[in-house]
Amino acid sequence: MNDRPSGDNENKQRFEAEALIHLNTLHRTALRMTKNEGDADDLVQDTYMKAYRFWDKFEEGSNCRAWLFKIMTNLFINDYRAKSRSPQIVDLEDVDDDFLFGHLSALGPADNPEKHFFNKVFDDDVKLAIDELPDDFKIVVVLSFLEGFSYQEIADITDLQIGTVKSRLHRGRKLLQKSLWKYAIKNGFIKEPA
Amino acid sequence: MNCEEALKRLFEVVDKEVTQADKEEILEHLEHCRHCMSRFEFEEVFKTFVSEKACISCDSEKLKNKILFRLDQSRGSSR
Ligand SMILES: [Zn+2]
Repeated sequence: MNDRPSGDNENKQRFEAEALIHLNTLHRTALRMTKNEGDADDLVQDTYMKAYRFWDKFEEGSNCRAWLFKIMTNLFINDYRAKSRSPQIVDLEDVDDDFLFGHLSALGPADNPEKHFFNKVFDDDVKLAIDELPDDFKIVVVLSFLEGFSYQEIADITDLQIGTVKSRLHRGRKLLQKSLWKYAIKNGFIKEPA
Repeated sequence: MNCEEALKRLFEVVDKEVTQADKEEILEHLEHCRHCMSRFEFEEVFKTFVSEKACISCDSEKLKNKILFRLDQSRGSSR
């Protein structure tokens, strides 16, 4: 195919080498954001198609993974979330700063409730607890906890002020602890003090 | 540094968002305060716990093929 500009193939190869290698981490975050496999599939595909369209805008040498997460987060907020009709239930009840730590410590040191808790809680419960977070908190928690982005990177990805990132992460962490505590009690891993 | 301030800044250490000097200042308090130390250790374990439980890598092979297919298609149609 001599009529195809040779840069085209090079471009695609560079895209595969630099962008497509991040597929797995985008995929797992998409699963938490959309809460189902079909939407996660679509979201990741749309992210890559958009990234490919704007590939010439990507500054070589800058953080490709963060750039892809920015595209995906924007698509999720502006497109996918707008489409889903499920209302966001925001837990307005105040949660103590040391919710989980305080509750576990209150059980007494006898049979090491902390260790018990961390050993017993299911993977699926953790995923469910993340899925149930209101999107604003979930996005920040996932980018920090699962993907290890710094406060500044999360601020760049979400177009939020760094102070907002910190406060959402703080609140998200507390909400996560609260629902994991509930799961632990529901599943009988922890006996709620009378 | 008192407990209130240490607890306020403990997450910056958990999230690795402090300079070495700040970290030392906070750790200095933690080393002398059992309550803050056990809270700090708990929050560190909690973060690791959540990330490990939720990070189980998903099978992205099929998805990769779909994306490669669509990339090929979009190149074909843009000619
Ligand atoms: Zn203290």
